[in-house]
Amino acid sequence: MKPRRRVAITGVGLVTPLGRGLPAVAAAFGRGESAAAPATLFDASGFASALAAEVRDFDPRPSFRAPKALKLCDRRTQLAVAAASDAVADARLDGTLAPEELGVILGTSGSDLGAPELSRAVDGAGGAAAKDVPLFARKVLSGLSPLWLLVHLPNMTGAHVAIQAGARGPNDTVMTGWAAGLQAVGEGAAAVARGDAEAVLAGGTDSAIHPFAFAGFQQAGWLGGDGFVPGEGAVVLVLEEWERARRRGARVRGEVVGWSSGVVDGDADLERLARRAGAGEAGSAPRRFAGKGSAAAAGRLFAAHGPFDLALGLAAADTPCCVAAARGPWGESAVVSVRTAPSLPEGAA
Amino acid sequence: MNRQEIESRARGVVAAALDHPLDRVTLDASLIDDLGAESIDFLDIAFRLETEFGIEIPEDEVWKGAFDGVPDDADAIAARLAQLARERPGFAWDRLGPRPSRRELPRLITVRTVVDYLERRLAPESAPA
Repeated sequence: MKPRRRVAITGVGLVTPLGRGLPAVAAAFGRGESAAAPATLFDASGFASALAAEVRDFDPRPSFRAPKALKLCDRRTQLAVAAASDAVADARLDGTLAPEELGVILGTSGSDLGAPELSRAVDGAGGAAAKDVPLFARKVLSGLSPLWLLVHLPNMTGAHVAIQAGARGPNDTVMTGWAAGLQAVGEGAAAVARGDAEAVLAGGTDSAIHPFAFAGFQQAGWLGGDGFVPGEGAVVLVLEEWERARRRGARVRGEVVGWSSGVVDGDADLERLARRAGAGEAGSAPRRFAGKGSAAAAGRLFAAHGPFDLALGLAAADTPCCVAAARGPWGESAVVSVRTAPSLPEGAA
Repeated sequence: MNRQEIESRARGVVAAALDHPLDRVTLDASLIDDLGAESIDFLDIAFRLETEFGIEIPEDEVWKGAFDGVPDDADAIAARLAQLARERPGFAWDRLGPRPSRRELPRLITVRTVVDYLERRLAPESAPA
């Protein structure tokens, strides 16, 4: 078996409700800002809470090399393309790789399936089509744009990021709820470590600001509860083979030193995952890490849901290393261990 | 609906579908060569035109039947294409390569092709059944 290769983080793209890019987001964290405000993307007034953390004033157009593709991209995908474009620019990656050496692995979840468009088409065909499937098949489909489904397939997110970034390497979509973004980072690091790709654009994207997501959150009893606000955003990292990154003089922001994922049921499972992540699955020997009670760190971070956990860890640049962890409501979990730039071996950064 | 109105609305549809400013969508622009359309965009444009003009556009409408009975041989195809070029103005016939093949046909579709088609379809005497 080939030895596993080291994995550098050479680019970061953040498109979040707290701002765009690492400095803006870190500053907003530092000020203790909240992005929660009444939702504007749809009328949420009927739900237990109408608060949402939205990415305001978001213009996806400059991030698209071919803006015609915008009509095929839902909000999740637009956020992901923007974050990936920022990450590629941050890493100065353009032109340093052959297309087939660059992969895309993103975590995401379901969309609203174009509910407004779908309901307009059902209305247009007469209300009966809503409960009569043969009628739906005959009438509604002819009133729906032929692009409808293409916009809402979950894997289209990774496809459009790949198209816009010119990435023809491994392309994967992870859909493990709130663990998906981090798991995608882990899978991306693994793909680089084992040599399937020289670099991977890895991260998560989602927009939970639509009626289906709010309905699900309300059914679960979270909406209007303490501290839970639906949000949206995308985080994409450039994960790059270590030696290649050094040779081209890339700024190394960190190293993925380990990761793990699994289904957890209780603290013992969680510790097992954190230990596995700390034990350097991606190939290096994270000595500082193993002894540092990474399970405890993971436990703390498990309290924070969503795709921003890793950003949190990276933003704290004076932290020598961190564990980012996410746990979904059904137990899927992912843990990623990152050594941040100040603690990297000399000459690496 | 007069030709001018059809043209103006059709150009608007093509501009929106292909994400171009209106002034790039000239009558002689090839949807593929000049405006970057891909196969999926033809489906999209057909659907948008159906909605805009309240008509149904059958699949393969533009070249339907054009090659019925023509053997799959370069000379026969070239001869048929030459005949089509005389019979059907409004396509970018000058863009055919030196050894034309059927595969090049979509490239010949221009904005004028679309407007001509709509004008025929919307003429009172040829109203769809």
